[in-house]
Amino acid sequence: MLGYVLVATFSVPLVPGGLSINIDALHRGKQTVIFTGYNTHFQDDAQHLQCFVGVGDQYMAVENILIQDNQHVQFEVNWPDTLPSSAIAFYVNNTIDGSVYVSTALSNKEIAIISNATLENTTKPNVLNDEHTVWGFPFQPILFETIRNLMLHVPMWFTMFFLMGIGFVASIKAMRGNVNSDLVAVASVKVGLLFCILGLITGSLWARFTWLTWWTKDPQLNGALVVFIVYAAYLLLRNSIDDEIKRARISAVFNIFAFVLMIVLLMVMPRIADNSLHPGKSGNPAFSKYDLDSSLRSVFYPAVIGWILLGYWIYTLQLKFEKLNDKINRR
Amino acid sequence: MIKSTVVKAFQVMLVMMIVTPLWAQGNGLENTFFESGKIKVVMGVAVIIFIGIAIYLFRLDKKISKLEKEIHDEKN
Repeated sequence: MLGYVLVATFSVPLVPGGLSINIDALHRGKQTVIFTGYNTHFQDDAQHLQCFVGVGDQYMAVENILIQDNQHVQFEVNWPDTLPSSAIAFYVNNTIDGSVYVSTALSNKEIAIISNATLENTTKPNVLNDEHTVWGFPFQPILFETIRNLMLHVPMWFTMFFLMGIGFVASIKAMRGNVNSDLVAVASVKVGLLFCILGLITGSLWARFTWLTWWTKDPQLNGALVVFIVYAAYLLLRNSIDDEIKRARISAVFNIFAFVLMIVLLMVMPRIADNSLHPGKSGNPAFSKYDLDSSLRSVFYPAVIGWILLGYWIYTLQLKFEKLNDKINRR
Repeated sequence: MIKSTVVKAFQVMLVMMIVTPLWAQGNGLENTFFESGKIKVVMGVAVIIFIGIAIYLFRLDKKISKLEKEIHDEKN
C-alpha cells in the first residue's frame, strides 16, 4: 500500500496553474507583463488563448498577446488613471488549462484607487472552458508541488495519534499494576515519538519554504512540541522507577494525562485559537471540498492507512524488544 | 539507554539551533529549494522520513539481536 502511495505521491502531475509574473509594481499607462504558468499548455492551444486582468470584481482586456512557449506568455496592460481596487489578478485562459491566474501584491504609487471607478468590463470575459481538462493534484498558490507533502507529513501525525492511542489503552490496563500492559504502553510511546519527531522536522522544512520560517507561533506547532516534551518526560519518568509494579502504575497515570493533553493541544486548541496557519484549523472544518479533492483523496486515505500499518509494524518490533529486555532484567 | 538517547536528541537540537540560522542566510543552496515548484521540499521531507525510520529500525534490530544473543548464550 505504501508503494502505491509513494509512487502516486511523486508521479501524479500537478494541474496547470499560474506561477508568477515578472513585475512587482504598477506603472500608469502601458506596462508589459510576462506571465509564467506551471504545467500549462499556452503554445499547444494557442488559437484559444485569452488573457485578461481582474481588478476587484471587474475585468480589463490586455493587448499585444505574444506566446513565448507553453509556460510563458507576454502581454501589455494599459492601466487607466484610476482603478476600483488594489486586488489585481492576471488571468490566462485556454481550453486545456482553463483559467489560470496569478494574484500577487503589487506596489502602486502612480494609480489612484477609487472604489467607484469603473472599468470597461464589469463581468468576466466569455471563455470556452473555465476549468482545466487535465487530471492531477490541485495547484495551490505558494504550495505548488509541496502539496505532495500531504501524503508524507500529515500521516506522520495520524500514525502518532494511533500509536499514542494504543499506549493510552494499555496504560488504563497498566494502572492496575499489569506489567505486560506497561511494556505495550512504553513500546507504542517510543514509536509514537519517532513519528512525532519526523512530523516536527518535516513540518519545519515545509514551513521554511511556504511560510518562509522554520518555526512560527502557530498553536499547532507549539502544541506538538509540548506533546513531544511531555512524552519524552514520560520515558524519563518511567525509567527512573526501579520497582516494576510501581513503575507500571505511576507511568500509566502520567501516560493517560499525556494522551489527554495531546488531544487537547493538537485537536482542540488549534481550532479554538484564531491564529493557526494550518488548513482546517481556526474554526474551519478540516477537510473541506476545497482543500481535499478527489485526486488527493485517492492517495491520501491509503497513505494514512499505509503509514499507520508501518507504524504498527515498528511498534510490534519495539514491543518484542521491550519484552526481551524485561525478561533479561527479571533474571 | 533512554537517557543517552534524550541527551543525544538535545545535542542534535543544539547543533541545529546553531547551524540553521547560518544556513538560512539566503544562500544559493537554499534558493534552489524554491525552484521548479518547490519539488525539492517534498524530496527533503521524504528523505528525512526514510532516513529517520531507517535509523530507528536499524538500531532497534541491533538491540533485539543483542538481547536474543544474550538469552541464547545463557541457555547454553
